[in-house]
Amino acid sequence: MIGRLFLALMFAIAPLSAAEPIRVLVFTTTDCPISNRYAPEINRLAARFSGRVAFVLVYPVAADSPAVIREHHKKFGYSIESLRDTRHELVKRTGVTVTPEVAVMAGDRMVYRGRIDDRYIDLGRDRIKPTRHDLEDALDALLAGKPVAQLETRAVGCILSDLIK
Amino acid sequence: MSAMGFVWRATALAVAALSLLAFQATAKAVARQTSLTPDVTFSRDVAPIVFDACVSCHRSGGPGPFPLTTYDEVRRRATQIAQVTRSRFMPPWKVEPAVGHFVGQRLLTDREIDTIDRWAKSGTSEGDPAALPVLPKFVHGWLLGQPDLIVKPAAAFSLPAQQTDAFRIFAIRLPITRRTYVTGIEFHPGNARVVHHANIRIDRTAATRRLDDADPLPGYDGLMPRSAEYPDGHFLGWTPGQIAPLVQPELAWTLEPGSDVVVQLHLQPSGAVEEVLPEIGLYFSDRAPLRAPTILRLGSQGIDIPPGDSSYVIKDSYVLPVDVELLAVQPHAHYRARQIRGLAQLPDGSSREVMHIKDWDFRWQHVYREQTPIPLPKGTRLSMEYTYDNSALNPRNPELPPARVFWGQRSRDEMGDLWFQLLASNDADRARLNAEITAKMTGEDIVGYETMLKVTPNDAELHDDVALLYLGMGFAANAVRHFQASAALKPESSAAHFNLGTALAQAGRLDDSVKSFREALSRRPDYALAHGNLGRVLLVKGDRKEALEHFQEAVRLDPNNLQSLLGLSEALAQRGDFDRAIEMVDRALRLPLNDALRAEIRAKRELYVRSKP
Repeated sequence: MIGRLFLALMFAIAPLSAAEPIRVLVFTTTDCPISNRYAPEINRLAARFSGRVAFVLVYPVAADSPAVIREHHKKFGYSIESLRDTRHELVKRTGVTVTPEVAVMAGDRMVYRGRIDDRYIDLGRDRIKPTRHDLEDALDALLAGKPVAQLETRAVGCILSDLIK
Repeated sequence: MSAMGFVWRATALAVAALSLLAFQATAKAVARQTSLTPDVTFSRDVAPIVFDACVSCHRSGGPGPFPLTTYDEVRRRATQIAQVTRSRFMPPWKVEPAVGHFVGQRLLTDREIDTIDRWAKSGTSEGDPAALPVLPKFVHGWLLGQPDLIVKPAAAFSLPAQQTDAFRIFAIRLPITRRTYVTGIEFHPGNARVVHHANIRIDRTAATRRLDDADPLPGYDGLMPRSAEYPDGHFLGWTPGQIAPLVQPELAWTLEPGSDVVVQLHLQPSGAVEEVLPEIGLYFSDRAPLRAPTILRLGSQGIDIPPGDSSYVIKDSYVLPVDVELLAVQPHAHYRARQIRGLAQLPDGSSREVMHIKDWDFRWQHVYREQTPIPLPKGTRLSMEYTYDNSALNPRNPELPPARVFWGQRSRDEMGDLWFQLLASNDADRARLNAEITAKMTGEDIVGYETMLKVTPNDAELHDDVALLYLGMGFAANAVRHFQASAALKPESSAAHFNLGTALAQAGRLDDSVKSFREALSRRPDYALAHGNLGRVLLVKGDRKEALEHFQEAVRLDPNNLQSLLGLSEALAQRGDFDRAIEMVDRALRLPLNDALRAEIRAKRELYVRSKP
């Protein structure tokens, strides 16, 4: 079911623009507290860029079954597409190391990878509000036809190497 | 490409051709394996640490966000656990290891941290399951036993899916009909995922309830009124995984009928909408307490930190006038505080740290209870020193670019308190300690009001509050200054002019006082108290005739006001009308009075009787 959602997404996005389609792969796990705390921000960004950028939730952990993911979507109010990556192809190809971490794809090129914003400095150390909105800035730049200022940032969250062992 | 999964292939995704060149540092962390030999195993080496230090929160149904009760659960977080134990974010215990021995102390040794680290880096081997220690059993429900009373707010608060921490205060009614003695409480967060900690107080007035009722949703967002207090020198509060033990019945605290439990929740949103309904169990004693602790608050309410100042220091100290035992310590500060220290310097010249947190985190408010009370002899100097970083380099600074910040109770303001729970050895010592400490803390409260008025000089309520504190301390001239400001801010308020008149009278400025009472009465002619106080001032000034008129009006409007009755009797006696003066005294004597006052009024009656021609 979730695999097919992704399939539909890929076909749907192609005709959106003559330019390369922009996708944001948001790596997440259902039981990572930091990842879940970003749900309102992910939903906000998905709504803000709706029709121009496709947001996709990527679940690399095998325990996050389709049923668990459906429940996760319901609880956190996600209405964006999702994909299971239990063989970790997307993890390996993008090189993400934690959840939440995002990879922004412009066509077949990865143009940004890292944190959504700088709210978290480290585990147990966060700001009241972020001072940099790295993902949002990257998307604004891309849509304006400008280069992304910073290609890579360090994301803070739950470490994937443990979770997908 | 051959390793691709079904979905991947079927969509012939462009992602497959990702340019990895831009990202040389890619999946290094994925499936990290090192050549270290697994000389450390979960069952033998890691589980004893985790079962001792982590599972009290990290268990199914516990306040931790995920369980760590099995090999698989721990293995899946190994690198993370190694990181957060190394940084000492977990287990959450902010106090430096050298300070004290506290109830519920959770500190890993360097050796334990190394063990976890070696295990995570050497491939997280399970080892022999037979060597696994027994997982502690957790009682479900009330850990202190079945409470005598369980209360909760009338309805759950629905915490929105937002990113910023939230605060919510509830006034929970206590269905008790007579004075009750309490040996302790157990707090259940109701939704441990989002309740980060709880401040708990008792309000003997309806002040908190009124604020709660005024908000249409369950609870309210704002400040706790001053009347929400720690009861009889006892700290109340909750941090995850911590339960304060019950106190001995001789140290129980008293709950009066009509009191509310006030719970302020610090909520850390989960990302989803969450229902929050906390619950409090109370444990009673059938005996009246024999002793009560005293709470000393050291700190500064004059905090005024310039923007960019990375090392702003506040200090305070107090010398104990009697022998005490130190039972507990609670530091409090907001986001910009960095280092927190508390010291006890004993009269023999020795000193010991009673609190030291190098990396203060506003999220971990905690009451630190000594495992064994610390005897502090008379003459011991208790002191505190807090350091604040209001620069842009402090990531916890809530305002960037940094702004000037003052003392205040809102989380964006700053505070700096170190609370000590002290137990004096007898009632006389306790009375002396209480009197001294109350005067000291009221003096600092006044500083706090003056600081808040620097920020909001047009807040009439603040002027009124601080003026009352000044009056209580005997500083009538300062009270006059603030009541003048208040009356200027709300010139139509008869009460403001009345307050000013009263303070002016206490300051000895009788003519000005008369003017203020007349201002009050011009706005509210039936203001009995203003007639009474005006009569009193006129009497002192020697204006007997007008004084009598105002006392008569005061008694006519409020026949049971003691001060007006006594004032009227005095005014009558001064013009020789002793019969009616005695009549007023007799009316006063029919009011509920304490013995001392009754004796005083009787003496006055005798005087009038003897003065009769």
